[in-house]
Amino acid sequence: MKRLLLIIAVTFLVLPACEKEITIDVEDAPQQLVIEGVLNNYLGESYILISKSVNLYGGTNFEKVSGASVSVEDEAGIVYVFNEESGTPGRYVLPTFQALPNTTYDLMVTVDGETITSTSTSPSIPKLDSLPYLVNPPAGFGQEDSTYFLFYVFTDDVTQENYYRVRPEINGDLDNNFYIGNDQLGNGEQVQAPFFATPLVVGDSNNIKVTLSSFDEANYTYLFSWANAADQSPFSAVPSNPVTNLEGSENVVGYFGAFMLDTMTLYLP
Amino acid sequence: MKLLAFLSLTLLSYGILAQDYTISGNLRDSETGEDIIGARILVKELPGTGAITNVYGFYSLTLPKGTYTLLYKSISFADFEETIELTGDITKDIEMAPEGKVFEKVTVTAVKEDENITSGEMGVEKITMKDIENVPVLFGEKDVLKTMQLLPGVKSAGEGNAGFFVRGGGADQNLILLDEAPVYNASHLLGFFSVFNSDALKDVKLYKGTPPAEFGGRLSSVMDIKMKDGNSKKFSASGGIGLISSKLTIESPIVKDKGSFILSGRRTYADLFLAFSDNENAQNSVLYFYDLNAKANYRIGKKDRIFVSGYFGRDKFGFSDQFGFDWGNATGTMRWNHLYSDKLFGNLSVIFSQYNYKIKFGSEDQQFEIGSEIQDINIKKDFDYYLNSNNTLKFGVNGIFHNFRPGEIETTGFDFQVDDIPNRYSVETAAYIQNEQKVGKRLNLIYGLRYSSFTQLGASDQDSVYIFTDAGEIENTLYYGKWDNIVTYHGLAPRISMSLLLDEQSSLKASAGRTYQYLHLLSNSAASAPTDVWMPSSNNIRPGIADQGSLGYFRNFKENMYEFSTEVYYKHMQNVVDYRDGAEVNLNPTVEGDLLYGIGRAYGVEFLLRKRKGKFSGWLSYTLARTETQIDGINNGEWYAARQDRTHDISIVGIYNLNERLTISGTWVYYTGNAVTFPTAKYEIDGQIVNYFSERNGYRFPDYHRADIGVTLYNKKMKTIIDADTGEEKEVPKKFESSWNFSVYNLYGRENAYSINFNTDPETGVTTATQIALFKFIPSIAFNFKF
Repeated sequence: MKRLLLIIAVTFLVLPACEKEITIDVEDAPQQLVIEGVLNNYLGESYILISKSVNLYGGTNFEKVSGASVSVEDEAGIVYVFNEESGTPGRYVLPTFQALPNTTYDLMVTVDGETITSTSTSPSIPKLDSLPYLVNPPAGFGQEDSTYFLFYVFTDDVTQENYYRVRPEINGDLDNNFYIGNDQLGNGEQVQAPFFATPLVVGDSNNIKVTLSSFDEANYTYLFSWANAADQSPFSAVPSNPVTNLEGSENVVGYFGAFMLDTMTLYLP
Repeated sequence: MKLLAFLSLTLLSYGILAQDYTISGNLRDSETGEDIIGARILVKELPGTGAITNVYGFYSLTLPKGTYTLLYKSISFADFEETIELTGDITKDIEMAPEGKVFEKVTVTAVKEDENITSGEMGVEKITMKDIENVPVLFGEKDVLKTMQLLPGVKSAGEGNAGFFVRGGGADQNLILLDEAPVYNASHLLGFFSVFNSDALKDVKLYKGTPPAEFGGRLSSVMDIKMKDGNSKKFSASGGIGLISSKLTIESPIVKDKGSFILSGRRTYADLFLAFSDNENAQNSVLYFYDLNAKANYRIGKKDRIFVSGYFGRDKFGFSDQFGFDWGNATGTMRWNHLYSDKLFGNLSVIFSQYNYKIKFGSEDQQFEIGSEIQDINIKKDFDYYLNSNNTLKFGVNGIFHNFRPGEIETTGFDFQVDDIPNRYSVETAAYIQNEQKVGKRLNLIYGLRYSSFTQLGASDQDSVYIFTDAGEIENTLYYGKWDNIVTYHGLAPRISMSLLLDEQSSLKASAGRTYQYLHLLSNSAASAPTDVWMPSSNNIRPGIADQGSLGYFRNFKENMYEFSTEVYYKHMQNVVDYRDGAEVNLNPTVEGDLLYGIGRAYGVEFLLRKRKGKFSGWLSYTLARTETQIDGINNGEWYAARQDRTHDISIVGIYNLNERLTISGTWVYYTGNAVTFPTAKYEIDGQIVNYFSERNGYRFPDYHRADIGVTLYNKKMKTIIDADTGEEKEVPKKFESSWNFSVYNLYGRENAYSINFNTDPETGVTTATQIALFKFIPSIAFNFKF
């Protein structure tokens, strides 16, 4: 939507905006420990990634953190130790692990003498109902094909507070737009909404896989704040860091969550 | 008993001896019949005594019996002098001739043009339509809001933007009134043009300090814009053909000297070029905006006059048949002036005001539509009471019903249900009284009190009201019936301002006052967007309160040829609204949970040096200011620079009338870049590179500067004819006047940052800052005419 406003502005004025690279000096920030802790209901697909931040102009060789001690404890007191995957430094896995619905998990990561903790409770497993779509005639301006306007439909679990992200994957590419929501105003109701920002071109044969993910409030806050900070257009919000649920250090970013997933696929010829 | 009779006789005779009489009437332009606002009526025999015409051109002056020489003065009109013998109440309507149209010799005035010094008001900026006509602007599109930004204390919201900030206040803290109707979104095209077609306007006044008690509802400023009434003498038309728009205004008497109307329209036509495209969809696309202004007035007898005025404007964007986006304002004002006596002037206004937008996806058979709207109905009764030559009272009452529809969603031809965001009703009421008093010859006082209240009402049979936790989550939901009182806020806003004449050329001024604001614009972005949402105060959102104090020194030089003024101000704001990190504003029924409240402070010093008369006129303005915000939950609760914080702001405006046919004008602006949040590090998560931020608004955009230049070439105004009687050649004014206007925006092509993005190339890992600059060396041309 926000990018759209800029496009309107520029088209209206029939003017090219001039873009150029400029030099802006920024002060170095203290190095951040980055933890991406993902538990899910698919066997062996849970992982914890640990790395470090670099200065703004410091390239993208993000230092992977090896040798950390990583464990997850469930509410029954069972401790699952995640080990560093051989060949992929900084990635900690446990092939026998599968997160259960409605269960609380605690994360404990010890690295360089610092201990980072977090906790997350999984909701029930969500279910996608359908993926309806509209066909639009060609848009013009060089676009001669019709487009699809895709919607998602699922039903909320009435027994609990739920937070969702719906994420399409088109021909193997994950869509980085944020379709997130909660059931604060429609508990137990069917949710129907369009993938606003994701145009699908007919004729390119689209294999579409949609993942519906349900998680706790802290992860919703994380995603929500990330979604708004990600856009850098003049119409976007003041940028900020996503709100983390990791504790134990001032200089840690990232999240830990127990995600319950459901997927559905669709083929558009 | 005898003594008593003697006493009463004495008192009676004293009463007769000191009998006061009133002279009252209307001031009008002799060419067009337009009311003259803010003209001064001075009494030569009693220096320091006088009156000022109100917004309907009415004045009333009460003096002891006697013979007086009255001097009528107004900017861009020739002075008018008249000797009257005041032996009873007199009605005196005066027609003043516009400057340069007077052929008789005018008496040299003994009274100086020193209103800026003597007036009790401070923090007031006036711009004449002449200034607007000559100052060069983007695409040659004359703009009252952009010209106003060149004055001290008023800052542009950004490149080529009609939005503005006054003394550190946000863009939503400006009350913009068009014939008393609030205009909620005063810009077209995402802020690049204002909605005010300057051809239809008569008078513009900006109160940036403490506004008079008759105004309320916004924290930082009041911009009071009056439309022309329409020529009541003869039919006339004016218009212009410009680079991006054309406009036409027609004015005519309904019955000569009794009533008139004006009709003015403007439309942009960038999309006309699309018709030449060979792409069918491009031909079906639209992108334009238009404005319509209309006004009529009629005098019924000597004591009554009726005005009806309206504005309608819309932006339309459509992309083939699949996507439509349009937004705009509509206002309507009905007014009835009534003269209760020669000292009491009253006006009743019924005002309608609306802003909405609509976004449409899909084709005609299958459609998905989102809309949002705010609608006001406003009833106002105001009185001006000219008690005596030293006291002018103003008082009145006002009630507004606001209806907010933050999000309406409709689908057609498609089985799909989405809930609307619930409507909100609220009622805002106010009453005020103010006196403008002269104390002796040196002191002018304006003091008043405004009481206002705001009530949120239930908008449906089961209106849900949320109570949020500190973290912004819904803790509880309360239900109210339609018209139930949910919450009421109210407050007293005292205002005072004064001027003390030091000598004939200088004065000291001071003012202090409080303002309340019950409506809040939720915009989480830097630029003004049509989708910004207005929200009323509610159980969650408290009204904003601002207290401002200011001091000023005013001095004129060289027989009022040069005006100099400086003002210092300090403003403290409560209940300043900001967002939780990463809040969503649009289509969010629980948006109130994403808001955070804090305090703000703004302070600064403003300088203005202005030359009003002569071949060369213009001004130099400089503002040194600071605007900061403190909100728990943002920047660790520490003070941070508000987005509109700009340390230095300089404007230079020069207009040079080379000769009758040629006017050259130029402007130069410079200001410190806006406060902005830049990343300081980056990291990788979810397969994406994410920027890390250390501090809110801790960095600055590069400094902004720009020069514009304009040339206006008037076609010959006079023609030579042969006098039929004498056979001599003589010069007479042409009926048809026209001019060419050439201008260049951003003359030296400075690339000023509109936005700066930091992006990391995933292949090379190199992070670069990319600056987008919008307008570089934009020439434009326009042809204007009048007959």
